[in-house]
Order: sequence, then C-alpha cells, then structure tokens
Amino acid sequence: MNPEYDYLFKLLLIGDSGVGKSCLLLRFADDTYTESYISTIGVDFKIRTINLDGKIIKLQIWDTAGQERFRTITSSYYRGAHGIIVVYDVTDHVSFNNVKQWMQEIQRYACDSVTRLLVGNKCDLIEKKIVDTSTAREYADSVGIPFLETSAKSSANVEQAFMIMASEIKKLQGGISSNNSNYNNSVVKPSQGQPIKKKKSCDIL
Amino acid sequence: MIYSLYILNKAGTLIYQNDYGPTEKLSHNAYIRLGSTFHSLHAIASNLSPAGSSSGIELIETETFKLQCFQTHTGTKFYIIADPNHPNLDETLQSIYELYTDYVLKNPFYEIEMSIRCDLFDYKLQRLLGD
Repeated sequence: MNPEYDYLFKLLLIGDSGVGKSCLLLRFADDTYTESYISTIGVDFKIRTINLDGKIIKLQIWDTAGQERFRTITSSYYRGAHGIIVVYDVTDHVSFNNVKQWMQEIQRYACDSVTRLLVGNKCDLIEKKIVDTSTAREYADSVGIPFLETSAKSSANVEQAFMIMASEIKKLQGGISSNNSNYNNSVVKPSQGQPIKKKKSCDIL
Repeated sequence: MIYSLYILNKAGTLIYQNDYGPTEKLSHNAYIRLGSTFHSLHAIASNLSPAGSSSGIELIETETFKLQCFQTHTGTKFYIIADPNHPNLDETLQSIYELYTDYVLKNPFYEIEMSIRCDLFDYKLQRLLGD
C-alpha cells in the first residue's frame, strides 16, 4: 500500500438537526445540492483530496446525525478529530443558541488541540435571516474561533470554510513533519537542551 | 487464505490496507470509507452490550468470509478478512501486531496516527500473509 497523499485529516461536522450539515458536505465533496431533507443516520463520510502548499491532503469528513437520539453514538466520533465544524442555521435562532452546547460537547469528547470553526449556513435566505452576523461574530471572537456564513445552495463560502479548516490543521501538523523531512540538515546539540514544558494531553481512557 | 488486512487508528481513520488474496480492487477512498464504517459498527456494538461496556466486534462470520478484529489497549484496530475455514486468526493478528510494533512504531520517521508507509513492514506482512 502506497497512498498518494501526504496527510489524511479527520474533520467532523456537528450541529442541530436540519441546519444543513449534509448539504454543506455534498456541496464541498461532490459539488451538488438537493432541496430534499433526509436525516443522517448515525454517520456518513465523504472524502475530498485537496492540494495545499504543495502537499496532497485527503480530508475525510464525518457527517454526524444532528438528532438527539443518535447522540450516544456520535460522541464517540469526536475522538482524534483534527477539526470540528459547528454548523447553525441563520434562519433558526434555536440552532444558534445550541451552539454553546455543541461547544461543550467538543470540550467533553474531543482533544484540546482540536481546530474549531463556526459556520452559519443558509445565508442565501436573506429575508428569513434571524441570527445577526455581528452577534455570531461576537460569539466566535469570544471563544476565539474563526467564523463564516455559508450557503450550501448557492455554494457561497463553502469551499473557503473547509480550506480555512485544512490550512489551520496543517499549520499545527506541518510543524511536526517539516522537522521530519529536514532531518538531514538538523544537528542535535545536547548542550542546547531545554526543560520540557508540561503539556495538557488527550484523555485516552 | 487471508484476503485483506485493515488497520485503523484510534480515531477510526484507515492507516493501512492491503490485499493478500484474490479480491476486487477498490479505490483508495472506498477503503477509507469501509474502514471508518467498520469503526462505527464497532462503536455501536459496544454500546449495545446489555451488561456494561463491551470491547466491540471481535468476529463476523459469513458464508464466504470471516472478519476478525483485534483492538489494542490504546484503541488501534487490526482486522483481517479471511477464508471462513482459516484457522487461528487470533495468532495471525498477534503476529501482525508484533510486526507493527517492531517495524512501524520503532521506525523514527513514522508519524503516529498517520498512514503507514514502511517498506519493511510491507515486506514482513507479505511474508506472513502472502502465499
């Protein structure tokens, strides 16, 4: 087996039922859109290969079910995710209020180092829009994560949302592997050692 | 006869797949999807357990193949798809795990949790599982 890619990143889409997680994914992975609503059962996967700064990256996106009854299963998917996209519907205030709860889920189940992104979907429905861009941006800034408004229907910002995610993750991961590929040039000098800082790590068990 | 081997990291992402018997070749994305689907089934199976938590799927038997899974303490999953009459898949999985610890984990250029690209591991597996 010799996969023709440099990285495989696990991304997760979470958010209330019906906010358009599956549609966002369908737009990004297959560039299609459907008006019909089919609830996701458990989890669905899509894969898209992108090229970022000369590295070939496969994004495996796990599209989770938003419905409460699948929650016990979906929580087990947070583990090891490189990036999590929290989606709400700009025409539905409840879905925005629930973003806080989704953030708590992330804190409970995912790694501390996970890259997060807040996405307000259905921004093409201008006349039905209830959640202000400024309100959402304020919230995103307060928790220190990037924010975008997208439309899976018109494909506005969809590509950007996933690309922002991918480059943020690559920045974190790239640090490790660029050291790896330059191993010929680097010289280890024991005298220049520094005490190891204690790092918070993931809970495995 | 062993048909194929899959290795999933603890996040359910496919980090290794290879065929050793006559099987239909799929696209690489298809293998990734199959691997993660197995991970989900495994997670659901452990949730179904009526008496406390279970370790998940260990064996799936069908008319034409059987699938046996071994999970390490850290959550890495190895599973092989073999002939239904193949004996001692437990031992085979144990040997694969040993090869993994020797030729993947001890390889200083291997990035943990990422795709496995270690020639020596490929070679040793071929000797163990190939005919």
